[in-house]
Amino acid sequence: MRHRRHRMNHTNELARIHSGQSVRVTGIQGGWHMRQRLNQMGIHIGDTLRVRQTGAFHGPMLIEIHGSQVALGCGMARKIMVEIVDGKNASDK
Amino acid sequence: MEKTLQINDHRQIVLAGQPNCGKSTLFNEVAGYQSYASNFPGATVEYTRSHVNICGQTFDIVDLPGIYSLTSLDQAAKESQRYLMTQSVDVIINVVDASILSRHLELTLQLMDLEIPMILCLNMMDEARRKGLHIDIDHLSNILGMPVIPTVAAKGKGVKALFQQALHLTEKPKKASHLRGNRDVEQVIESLIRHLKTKFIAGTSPSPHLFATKLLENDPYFKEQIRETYPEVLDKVRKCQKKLSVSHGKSADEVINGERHMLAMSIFERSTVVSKPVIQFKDRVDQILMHPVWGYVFLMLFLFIFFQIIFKIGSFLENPLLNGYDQLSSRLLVWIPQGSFFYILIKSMVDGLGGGLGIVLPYLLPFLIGLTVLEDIGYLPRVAFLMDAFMHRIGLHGTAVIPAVLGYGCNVPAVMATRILESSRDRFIAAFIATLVPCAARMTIIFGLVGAYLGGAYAFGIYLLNLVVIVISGSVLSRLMPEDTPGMMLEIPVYHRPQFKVVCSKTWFRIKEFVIIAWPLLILGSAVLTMIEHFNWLDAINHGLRPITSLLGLPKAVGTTLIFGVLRKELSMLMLFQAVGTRDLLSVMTLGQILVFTVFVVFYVPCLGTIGVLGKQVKARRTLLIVVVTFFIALMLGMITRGFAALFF
Repeated sequence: MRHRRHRMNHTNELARIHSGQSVRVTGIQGGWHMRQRLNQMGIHIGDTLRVRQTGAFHGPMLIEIHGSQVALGCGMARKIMVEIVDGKNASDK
Repeated sequence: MEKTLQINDHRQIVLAGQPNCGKSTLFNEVAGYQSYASNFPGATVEYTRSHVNICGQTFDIVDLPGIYSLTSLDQAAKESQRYLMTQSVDVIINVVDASILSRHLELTLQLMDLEIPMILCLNMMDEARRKGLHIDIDHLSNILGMPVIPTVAAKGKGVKALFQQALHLTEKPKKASHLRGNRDVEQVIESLIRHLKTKFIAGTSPSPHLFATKLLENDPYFKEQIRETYPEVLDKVRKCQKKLSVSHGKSADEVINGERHMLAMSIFERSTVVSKPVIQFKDRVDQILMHPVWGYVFLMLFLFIFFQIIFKIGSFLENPLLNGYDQLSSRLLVWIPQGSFFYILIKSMVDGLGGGLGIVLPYLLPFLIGLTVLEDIGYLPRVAFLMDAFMHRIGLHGTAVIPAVLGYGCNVPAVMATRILESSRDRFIAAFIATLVPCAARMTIIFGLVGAYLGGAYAFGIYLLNLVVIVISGSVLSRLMPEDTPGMMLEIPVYHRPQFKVVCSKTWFRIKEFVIIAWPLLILGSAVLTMIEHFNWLDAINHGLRPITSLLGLPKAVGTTLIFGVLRKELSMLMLFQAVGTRDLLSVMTLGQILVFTVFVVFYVPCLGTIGVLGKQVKARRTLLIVVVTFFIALMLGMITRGFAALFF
């Protein structure tokens, strides 16, 4: 299972990731509501996503996940913990 | 959970799917000009229904608001959820965006739990191919156990085959059934189902499997269903949740959702081969249009061009239309003896008709077409993305921009669109802001009075003033109602080429309001005003409104027009021409008075239609609050403008 693959990378907030980088979701800090919302957009723990654009003035970021683009507010991006995936494995859907 | 009886005996086909998958485009394709589609999530805020004839049989086709999952987090989704649970549905056509198949399949898996005959409509196949997805239709159909039909709804491809399949399925119904996932999770679900069956739900809708999984997920809708009648079931649910979370090391809802996600991914992987996508211009264009700097430059540029075009088209059409109409009407009026009561009555109605034709339509029509095109291309969610940071200043997030932008067309759909926001506090603030946004009707006033008499710079100034007022009142409201907004999460759809049919039907949908409601009202209002004048009641009304008009330094005759403005905003301007008895306003009002009048009318009290939807959206008390507050804002701004005019004119 893809989920269980552990890496030695340390985790970081999604909000701190630069554009162009691919990351894997390692945790979601938030309650039921937050988890449901993210799941509905296709963001689950273990999924790989790519940051396409980071916003100016604490603006939202644009991410690409499962082939769709999602705008995530800065507050939400701070609650998603991720680890950086090296470029070669980034096509891991 | 009671099943609502169908009034007619037509069989019912329901279009369900995630937002932005092309449901409404599909619906338009078969139903004609009755529904409207949008290229932003949550566009269909109420379901649309149409009778459709397929191979000689009549069906009810229902287009539901888009939902991401059967657990609904916002109001629009709640409506869909409730509809699917309570209505007797013969066939569900699950429309999915084939280019985002894996995510859409998560909803498909939940819909299958409803145990209703189902078809999977793989829409946007062209886009999927472009993204390099090659979907094995037969294999997918085998896995899901239901017919799978590829379509490109925007081009009408596959639509006929889809509805023929639906027809076939109503004749030989085959219920969808849930797919089994991980064994230990299924065991827990089954133990809960056994418990539920001993209690109550054997044989009722929704299916036990759906009920059990949703209870394990802590879905508030389902918990509500059993809380009062079978509270002891909740104990069992808690035990099962604990079992799941102990064995998987995460909460039960994460287990169930993760399970569904894995299943969807595995179906996707088994049925689809991924090759290299074809990169097109539209994939690159976002790098500029959503760029932290260039994005805003282009946003400003687009808005500037947008209003320039409307103003140019409007002023180009206005005079020829008015002149032509005046000539025509004066020739007609020759036949009626002048000075008679009948003559006055007919003339007032003719004037009312002309007001709508010459002043409102030239601006309204290009505006609505323009807005619809922008929306259909998919630019609005990009605006929400760009504006998110600014919206946080007034305590909202980017998604709230969508109702605000729609407000520039008409406040009614704008207030309705606040449903895409989750917290009731956000909905209230967004609705308040939406009513302050100058709609197309108020735009005609701004252009028709201030633009025409004082010039474009002043008209622009009013828009700027309006923005400032929106920002201030938004900030004040969010200070008064402090709450952590959930933050923005919005799907940014791929750009579409605007569909001629969709643009037409949507523009018609929006202008219909004006043509069939406002225009007759305009003609009637014009007649009523003439009557009031004829019987000398005018003075009494104007006298009653004197406190307001004198505070604003406006002529007494203006009083009645303010009442008409509550019916429809543009009426206040058209009635102004009627009330002062000339189109040459400068002979009776000063430039300053025209400015004060416009500012007051732009801000005071939402129109009746808006008050109506506000009552539904934010309830009576808050609606009253909005009415009172906007009135005082308008009065204050009117007085400030009066002071400004006294100083500078």
